[in-house]
Amino acid sequence: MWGTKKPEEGTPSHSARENTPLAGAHDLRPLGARPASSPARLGKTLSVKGELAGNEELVLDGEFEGTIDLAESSLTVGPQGRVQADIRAREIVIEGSVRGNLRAADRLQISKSGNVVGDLVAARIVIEDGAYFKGSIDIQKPEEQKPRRAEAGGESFRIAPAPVAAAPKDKLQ
Amino acid sequence: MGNLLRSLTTRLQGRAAEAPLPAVPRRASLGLQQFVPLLGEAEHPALLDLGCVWQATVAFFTSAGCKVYAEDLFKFLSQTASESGQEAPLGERFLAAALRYPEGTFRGILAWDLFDYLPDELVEPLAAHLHGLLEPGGALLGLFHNRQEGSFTRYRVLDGQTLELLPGSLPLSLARAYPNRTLLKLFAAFRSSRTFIGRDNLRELLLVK
Repeated sequence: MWGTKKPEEGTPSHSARENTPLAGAHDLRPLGARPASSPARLGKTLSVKGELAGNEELVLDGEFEGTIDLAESSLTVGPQGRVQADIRAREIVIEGSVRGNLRAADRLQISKSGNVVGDLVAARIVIEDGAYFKGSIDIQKPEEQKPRRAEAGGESFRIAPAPVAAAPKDKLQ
Repeated sequence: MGNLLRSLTTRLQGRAAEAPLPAVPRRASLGLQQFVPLLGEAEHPALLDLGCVWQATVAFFTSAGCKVYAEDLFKFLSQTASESGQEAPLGERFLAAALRYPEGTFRGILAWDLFDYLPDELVEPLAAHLHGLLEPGGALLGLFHNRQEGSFTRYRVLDGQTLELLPGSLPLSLARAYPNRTLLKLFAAFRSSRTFIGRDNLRELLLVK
């Protein structure tokens, strides 16, 4: 009977499957593995210090202090996220609190719940009504960003070692 | 009966969906109109906005080639004034923590109506500090109430000559209305000043260093 049949391992429960399309071959993966399209996530109870670099999407819901370099990927700081870091990514979305300098090759968005103190450089910037921001905003298209990096000795985006709290004070020096 | 209620509900919902959003009050700004060209005389000018950060304002000035600095002194003033148990005077605490930029950094400063909300001890020090932050030829645009009445308002740039007025949520109330003579004395260090009087309760003051 229906009620006695156990769900197969590794498949979502019946209720979860009701409104989802049928699983394809690409969905067959080990238990616990993330689908290729879902972002990596730092949970809200986690606190991490250090350097973070990579090439996949990331959602930060916890606390992070250090540097983040996701040049080809996107970063989302969730509503619970608290970050003290200089960040470089293709796309950055801030829904939580960030202190540090942010550089996005494409789009940078501060959502209405976002709180950002630092300097922003991006090709496009979206600031929702209600967001808090203190710092500078510089719009640079990708073609503008590359020569400026080359002028700085061929370095890729350099992450300033200055304490994040001092960012507004030092931004013009 | 049930059908009638459903029909009425549907009609009301339909009307609500069709109803236009309440229009944001606007005002023409001659001060802004003359402020913007003054920025264009510099390459990649730096603009300091002392009000709330708005997408529209940022988009307007960045599209004009500006680097926009935002520091909401209204919010900072509200927070600083409400801090209790502080021994240092408000003026000292305010200028020790806000506007920490080197002299001559900015081509333009949007002060909005900040001066109308300042406590007495901050008025002259802040006017002198803002003068110092401007580069020679740089401009400051301020708004000043004619009468000490009206609620706290935020200003958003719609285009080069129009401001939108939005109700502010901070617990700030007007501290004073400056006579013209007091304003001229307060900003005497600037090279030139122009006043634009609107039909509403606001004067615009455009100052050039």
